[in-house]
Amino acid sequence: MTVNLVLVEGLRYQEAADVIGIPVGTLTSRLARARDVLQILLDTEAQR
Amino acid sequence: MNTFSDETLMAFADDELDPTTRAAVAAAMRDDPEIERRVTRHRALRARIRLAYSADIQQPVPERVVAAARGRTLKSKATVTDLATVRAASAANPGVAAHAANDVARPSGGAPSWRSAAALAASLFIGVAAGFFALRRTDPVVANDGGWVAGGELAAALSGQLGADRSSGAPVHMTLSFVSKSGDYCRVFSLTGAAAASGLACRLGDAWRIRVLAEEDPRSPAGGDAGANYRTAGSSLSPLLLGAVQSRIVGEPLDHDAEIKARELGWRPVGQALPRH
Repeated sequence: MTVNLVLVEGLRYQEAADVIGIPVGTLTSRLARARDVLQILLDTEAQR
Repeated sequence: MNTFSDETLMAFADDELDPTTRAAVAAAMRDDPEIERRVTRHRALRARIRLAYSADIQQPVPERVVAAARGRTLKSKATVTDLATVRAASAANPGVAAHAANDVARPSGGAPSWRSAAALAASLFIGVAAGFFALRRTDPVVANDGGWVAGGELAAALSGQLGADRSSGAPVHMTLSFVSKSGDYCRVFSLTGAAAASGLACRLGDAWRIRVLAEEDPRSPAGGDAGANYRTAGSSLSPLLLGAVQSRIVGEPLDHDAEIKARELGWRPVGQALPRH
């Protein structure tokens, strides 16, 4: 959800947090974790 | 040496930091290549996601997203900002939209049910990953060896397109070419279309390695279709790109004839170009 709202939809952190109904800090943490996973997936795919 | 958390660098890449912290990170980037590399990775990932979804971004807000948000509102008896409302307001006036979003009441009382939201997030996440891989062969930016290299039409344009080649329908425009301090050729490019982005790539070996990649904010006057206007080098570059160029360039940018010569020699590092037979 955070990836979709911030990176695909282009919402600001505060806007995305309000859509989901969570604090900005929580959104930031989730976004960072999601990006880590995406980066790992992409790096793994690139090595195939 | 300054140290910044990954979340801080992510927020910098997303232009979410306060001016003081942003200036500190920008200064650290100039002094520490590792920080610059980490920020570039965040920017590249963000730009790549927007590129992968450039067609979808033009579509109406998915009903499932709106339905999920509304369903959660009913279950938790909380007032949650509607995505469509925020998106519409944000497109009309970003500053007002952010302010309006802050005025919405927070959920109060009771633990909200995250089942539907979690399921939705999982499906969207899988969708994002699937989107990457479905577009992998033609992606303009491809993960490689811990960094990013140009692929598809971007790679072809970097190798074959001159700055003067600016047909209106071209997916890539070349803004500036120059020789870096290490002797490599570097080029500033802009990707046109719904998810416009611009960046800096330098030729290393047989690949164009992406040094900077940043989406252009479609809400800003300078955003949108970069191909709509011819923007002269220097005056049109974002502060990020301008700084990246200034920290690397040796001498003057290549003129048209120099670009042709560099292309003929395969953009090999200056002094190492193989003679053509």
